[in-house]
Amino acid sequence: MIPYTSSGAERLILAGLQPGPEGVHPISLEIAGVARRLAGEGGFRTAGVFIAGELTPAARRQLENCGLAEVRLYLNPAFHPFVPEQQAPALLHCVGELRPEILLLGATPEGRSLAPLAAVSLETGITADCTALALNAGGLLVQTRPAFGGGLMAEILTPQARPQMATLRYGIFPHRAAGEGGSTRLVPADPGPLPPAKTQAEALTAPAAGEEAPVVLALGGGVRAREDIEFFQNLSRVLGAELMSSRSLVERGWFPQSRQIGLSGRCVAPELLITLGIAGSVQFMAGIQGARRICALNTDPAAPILRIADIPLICDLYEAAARLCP
Amino acid sequence: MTGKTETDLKPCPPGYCLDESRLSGQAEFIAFPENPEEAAGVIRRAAEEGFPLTIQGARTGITGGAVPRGGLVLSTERMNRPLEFFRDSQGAPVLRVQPGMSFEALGNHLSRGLPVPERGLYFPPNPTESTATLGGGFGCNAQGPNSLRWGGLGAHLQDLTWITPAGEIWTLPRGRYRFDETGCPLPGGSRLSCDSLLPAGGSRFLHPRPGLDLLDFLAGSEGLAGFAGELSLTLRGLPAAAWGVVYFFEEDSGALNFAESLGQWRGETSGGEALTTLEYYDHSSLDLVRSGASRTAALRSLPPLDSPWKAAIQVELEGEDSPLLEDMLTGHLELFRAAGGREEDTWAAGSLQELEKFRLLRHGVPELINTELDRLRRELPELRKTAGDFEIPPPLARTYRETYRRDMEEEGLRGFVFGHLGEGRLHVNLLPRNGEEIRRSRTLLDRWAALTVGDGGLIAAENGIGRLKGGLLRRYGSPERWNQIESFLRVLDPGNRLGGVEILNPPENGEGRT
Amino acid sequence: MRIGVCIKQVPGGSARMDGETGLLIRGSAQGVLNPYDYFALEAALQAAASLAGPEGPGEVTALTMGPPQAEGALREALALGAGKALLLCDSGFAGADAAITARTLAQGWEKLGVPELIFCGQQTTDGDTAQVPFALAARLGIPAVGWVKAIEYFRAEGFSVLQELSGGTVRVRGGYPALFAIGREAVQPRAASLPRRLEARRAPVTRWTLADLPDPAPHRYGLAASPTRVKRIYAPLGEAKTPPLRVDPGEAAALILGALPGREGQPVPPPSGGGGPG
Repeated sequence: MIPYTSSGAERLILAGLQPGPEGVHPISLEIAGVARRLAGEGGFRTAGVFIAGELTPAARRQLENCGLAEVRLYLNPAFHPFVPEQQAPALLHCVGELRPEILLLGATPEGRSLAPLAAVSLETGITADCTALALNAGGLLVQTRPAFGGGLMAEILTPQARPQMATLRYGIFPHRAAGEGGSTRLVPADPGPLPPAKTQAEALTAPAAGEEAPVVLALGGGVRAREDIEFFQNLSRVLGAELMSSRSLVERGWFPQSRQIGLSGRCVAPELLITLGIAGSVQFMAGIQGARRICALNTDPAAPILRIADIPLICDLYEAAARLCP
Repeated sequence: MTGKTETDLKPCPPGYCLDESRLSGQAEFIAFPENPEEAAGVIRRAAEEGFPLTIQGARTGITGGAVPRGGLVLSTERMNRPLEFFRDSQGAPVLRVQPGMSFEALGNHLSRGLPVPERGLYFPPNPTESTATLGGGFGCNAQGPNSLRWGGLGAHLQDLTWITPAGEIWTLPRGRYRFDETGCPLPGGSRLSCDSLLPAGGSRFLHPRPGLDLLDFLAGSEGLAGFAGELSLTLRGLPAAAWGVVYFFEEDSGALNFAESLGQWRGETSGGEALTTLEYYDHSSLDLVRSGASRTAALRSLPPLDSPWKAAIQVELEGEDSPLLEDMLTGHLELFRAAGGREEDTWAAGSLQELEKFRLLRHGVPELINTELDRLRRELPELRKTAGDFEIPPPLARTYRETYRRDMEEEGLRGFVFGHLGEGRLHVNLLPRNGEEIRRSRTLLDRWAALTVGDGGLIAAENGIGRLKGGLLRRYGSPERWNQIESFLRVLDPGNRLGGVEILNPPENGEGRT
Repeated sequence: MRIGVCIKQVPGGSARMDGETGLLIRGSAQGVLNPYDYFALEAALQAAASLAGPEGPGEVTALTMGPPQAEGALREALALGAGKALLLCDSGFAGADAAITARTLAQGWEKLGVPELIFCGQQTTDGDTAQVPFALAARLGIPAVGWVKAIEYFRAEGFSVLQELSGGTVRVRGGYPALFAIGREAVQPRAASLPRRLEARRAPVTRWTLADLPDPAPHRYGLAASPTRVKRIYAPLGEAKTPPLRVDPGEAAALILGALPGREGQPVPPPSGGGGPG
């Protein structure tokens, strides 16, 4: 256990950054952006911690330009593939050195495993899967996340324990470009000897490098029959869009879960999101916060999605679709 | 044209010209009225223009009842709102809804939006297709698996707003208009005269009998005698206890023996504990689910079906007295053992949420048959759903099951037998693979239809006649009943807007085969 | 080898909550076993079968923390094949966040004797945090293997499973003790048989209160000990950004086409099929 007191004079936000298929995982840049924004609002210093098997040239370039004051590098072949018990000592070492007020990690499988391990050692709490972060008048981190299956939002505080830890939902926070100045210092760090590994991990497949589609067409419960899906596949080709769905169509077995948008599915951040027959449950909304513009079509004027859409249309989806794809 | 008038007609998109029967038709126009007055306006407009008219719900029917034959489609899609919740004079909870509301939407509405007693309310009729509409459910008097206990949908209505093919709006409170031996008074003072003592002759379609409520007479009239404009649904409190059990057998005969012995347990106890569902699945139906489970996301939540089971019986029970239900189940278990079943070859769920998973089995079989049908149709475009929807006296179920099996074997046809064994409603679906097999399948279904009528059964028991099975009544029902049906349609739809007579008795060589 | 499963009762329908305290009101919806826990139980039962000695499969123990009604979730576990059920139930446990829930469960396992294999559902459908399994493993000082999507084997000398991380699929091998957080693709849960389910209705459930735990200090449990606090719960609906437009299909199509990237602000060609009926 690490004795922990953060001193008021050196208030710091620590951003947990993780490697991705190419360079750093994109969530890392979102976290760095949030850390910089909060630091600006609350007068914090910023730092990052990057734990990886190696530092690729791409990752180096991204880290140097991530806009944080410095990034501590914990590099060791034992850190790849990811095993939480192996990485936890590195994270704890960094926290012990920098004493952050706030520690942010990605709500990726890796971040969601590592954060609780560290939190137990630090005797602090975590708010998982945050979709918004802000500072309140007292300087505490207001951690917002969907609650109870996504029907409601909850604001959570960590009043006493430090650091205030949160994991950030991927794809929701804006990438904030920090320019190409390369102003971030990269500082090699060493946690000392690692504990003997209790498990052996072997990477089998890399994930497909996800190309973010500029237009996403999402279908919801308004779609009436499984046979219609083929029509909408054609429509998505006509629009040059990736076809996805809300949870209801996944539950009906018409779409695989890999195509589901929402809290229990994927987050998307396209230039344009077109929703057809989607009411807009909070659980769905959690997955579309990164969309630049939303065009929503529904027959029900009270559908929540129409409140957040840039182009909210009340119209029958079949009739409109028939005009788009005759 | 953003303005909206009562009889706003729009060109009909192709999506509204087909339904789950895989039949397709065509229509020039479609209208989406939002209330009975607008709907009546649409009908009067159709009459002015001389358009044939087709009434549509969610197009989930499997006999083509919603497939238009030119002219105008009236879609109830936008009549999809709950209207009013109240208690009747006996204190029973009632929800008045529009006909385009789906069973799913009704369930969601009941689970959140009502001033409910502690355990919540539900509407018992439960066709397995939750996207179907309540109006459609009335149109075919839907009877789901639990009709063993609850009967058809019509029986659960307090009153009905009926929109006639002439564009009139009738209010039909239950009890106001009833048949006697010679007919039934109609709203507005006229009378529907008939011989109310004729036997069903193979179909419950517009089948009167003395004492029958006009509302129940219209239930199951398939959108050919008008349609529901508003429905007042009698709700019930959720049962305190509910069980779902699937019993698996390595021999088909074991399943039928077990079902017969369960028959003796059917009646309600004084506290209302009762078997609500008694379903049967044959070997091919189980195989279909086995192979489909890996491909169909929804079926993946079914428990593993990897044992060499050859038949299954699915039951559901509900009631207020939990220990009493458990005693009933212990009794069932003894019967199961006596029928050669092994205790571990059972799936048991002790709550509504859990037994919902097993309902996937019931829903999955017809879904997967349709998927197979679609696949075959790519090679064989003339293929239609080739299925019998017969109801036979339950004691004959075993004989019929055996007849279906033997006939399919002799003809070398692939088929599936499953369904509501408890009420003698076994669905038999054939999957012919070429033109010759289509011909032989039709011959078989015709033979079975004749057999069924001969035994006093029904030949379009649950799924309706629609366009797929037109001609069936004319060929296998009694001539007197056909004449009666024809005369009813002439009175109820004098302008022949809905085309009932032609749909039910199409010219030969049309699609009017089983 | 001893095998344990952590389970949780979650609201069956939509949960409601106390807007004042921000705490979950469980009475409002009938509780059910967390859907993910079916996968954890199935994995545990399969592991027990794989590791069976000459005297048959070892007993699987199900543990939960919750109010008295949470016994329902334990009876579900018993019906599915768990041999023993344990409920940690004390008003002092109420309001625990993920960190303190894990701490309380760890105390339960320590009192019982920490099993060599512990299975958890990857997450719950109410909390949805996926934090408890990892925090529990850290408390017990055993490795945690999360996001399990396939089980290769459980043998006396060790295990092999596949997990899905954002970095791809990873095979993890190791010895015992270990904790596994099971995802929905890993196994296909069985159904309870009728005799087992009937028996489970009457089977005993052991209940331990705070005083039964190795560390009975009340200030280390429940809401008071939890590092995180729910400050506010709200329904996330604001005013509409743009008032919704009631449009006919032709207009809708034109607006959608006009919104496509690269087309903004450009004149929209009339969609094929004409702009409307008439």
